[in-house]
Amino acid sequence: MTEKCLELKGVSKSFQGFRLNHISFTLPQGYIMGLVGSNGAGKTTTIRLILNMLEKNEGEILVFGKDNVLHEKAVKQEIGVVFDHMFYVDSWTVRDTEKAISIFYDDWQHNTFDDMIRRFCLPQNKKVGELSRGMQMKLMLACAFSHNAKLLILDEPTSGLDPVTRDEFLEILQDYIKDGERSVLFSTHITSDLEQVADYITFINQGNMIFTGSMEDLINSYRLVKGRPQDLTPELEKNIAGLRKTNMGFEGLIAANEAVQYGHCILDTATIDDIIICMSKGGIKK
Amino acid sequence: MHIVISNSSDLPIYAQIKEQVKEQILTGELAENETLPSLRQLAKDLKISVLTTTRAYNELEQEGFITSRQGKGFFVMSSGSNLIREQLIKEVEKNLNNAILAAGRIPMSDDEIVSLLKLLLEVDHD
Amino acid sequence: MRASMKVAKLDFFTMKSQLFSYLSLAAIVLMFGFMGSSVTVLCITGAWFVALQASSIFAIQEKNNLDHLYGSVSVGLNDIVLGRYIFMYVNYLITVLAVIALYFGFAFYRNAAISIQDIMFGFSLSFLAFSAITGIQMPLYFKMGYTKAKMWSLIPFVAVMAFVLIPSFVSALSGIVKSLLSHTIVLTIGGIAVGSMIQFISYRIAVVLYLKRK
Repeated sequence: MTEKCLELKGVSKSFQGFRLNHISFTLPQGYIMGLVGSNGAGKTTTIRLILNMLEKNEGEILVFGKDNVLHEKAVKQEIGVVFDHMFYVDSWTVRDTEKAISIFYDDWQHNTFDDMIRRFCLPQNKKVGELSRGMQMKLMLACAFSHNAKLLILDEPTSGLDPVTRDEFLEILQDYIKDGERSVLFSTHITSDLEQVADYITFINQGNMIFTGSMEDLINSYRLVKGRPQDLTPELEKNIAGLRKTNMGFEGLIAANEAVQYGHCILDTATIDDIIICMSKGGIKK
Repeated sequence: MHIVISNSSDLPIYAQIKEQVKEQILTGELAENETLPSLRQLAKDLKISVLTTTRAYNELEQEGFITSRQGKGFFVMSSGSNLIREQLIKEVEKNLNNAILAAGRIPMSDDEIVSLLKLLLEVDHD
Repeated sequence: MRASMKVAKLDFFTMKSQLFSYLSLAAIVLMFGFMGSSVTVLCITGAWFVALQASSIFAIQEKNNLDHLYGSVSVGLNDIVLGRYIFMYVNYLITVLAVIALYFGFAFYRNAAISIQDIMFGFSLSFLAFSAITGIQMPLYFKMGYTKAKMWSLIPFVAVMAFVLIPSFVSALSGIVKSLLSHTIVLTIGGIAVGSMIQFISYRIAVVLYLKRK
């Protein structure tokens, strides 16, 4: 029985004009979970809530079974974080960054940090503000890896990076979870990154949780239906999300169990992008 | 063990893995009692999700081709290649039975069926 | 407690690059000051200067997204705020002690008399001034961030300066002030006590505001 690395139960947070609504999901130890949704859907808010950078209005967040607020310090010893922008002082060098971060960790692995710096070819004495975007991300990653973190939380770490760096990044991630003890929560809207390596997916749309489960289940839960204009019956239209009508025909997303009745139309496998785009456009009365 | 997967195949990835493993057991490329790569190493090498490799291995184990030992990983069952042979022989049996049924509808006599079979085998060998 | 010390340590490390300009500026200010003022005034000047400079850590925090750094490392919200207060205080203490030490130095050099009373006064009043200024500023900075709070945060400076200057213009008030000033011990202890209370209240407010900042 795999342990639960991260568990959210009914987590809600209200702002002016936006509400994150009863988000619940579980990330088992040793796997990669992708957190997907369009911009503004609530992914970053969810991550901030996990890190107690924001106060939740409702719900419970457990990291390795411990409450994320009551045991904040103990929990954060085990978490490594990478954001889409660097959060170190511009005038620090790579060496300075290590000195600063290691203040906070009992279990700082200087050798691991050195290895990573060498592996990523990060110049030790250059000011981190002058590093390229890709190198800044690698620096954050090196710091996240160097205190035996069992949970890696990544908030859009590859946005703005070229495909080569993104590919390198994915390989590093797969290496990270190789021992089965470490887990990754990966929030991104570059879904092609996830399509290959993610084991689980949680899909949030406009503050609501649409789906959580294995990648396979997600893909199998939907179909992309395509047909000629005359095939679009009112009943079908009710069940479609993200309907797109043209002179040629129509296409949209339907639930897989609804799809069986529409065998006369084309039923394609939906990619994660299809699912996100169509669900964001809306249409299905849930 | 060598696996190559295709993203554009009709077969889901876990099924492709299963097929190639079975093939390699049959040809002897995967020897009896040989250790398979770990779930995570395989996932990393093929750049796929761990759940996918887990499903492939689990189904192979259920079907009796491989077995897992706590802490040691997955191994090819010693009866692995025999099991596959048996499965494939059953497949041939089924097809032959279908042919016999079809022949019966015409009807063809037993001798006619056997000579047709011999003819086809000759053609196949050429 | 230890976690907040770590945050204060990080703050010092954050300001490391500014150290040289800070010390130079401090030296200039104090040099001008030592040309003839009492140690009391110098302490207050020192406190005022530190309060002015110390806000720059909030500027760096905002510019470099350090909120994210604080959120990701192994400290609680209280520790982040408390650590910042500790950082401010250590800056203040170092400055005031330096002023007092320089005062002793100059006094020996000039063979002038040393007034312990003036020193106690200086310490207490500068502590009060520092507490009042930062006590108002810190919650504002934590709540709004440096850029938005900058305007508002000048108010305590102006208020404290007014508080110090006005009595000298209004003769009635200056009478009261003179009689107050004669009770050194009371004023010293009172100043430190009131200052501490202001800081404590300020800290509690800052924690609440920082949590609710988004």
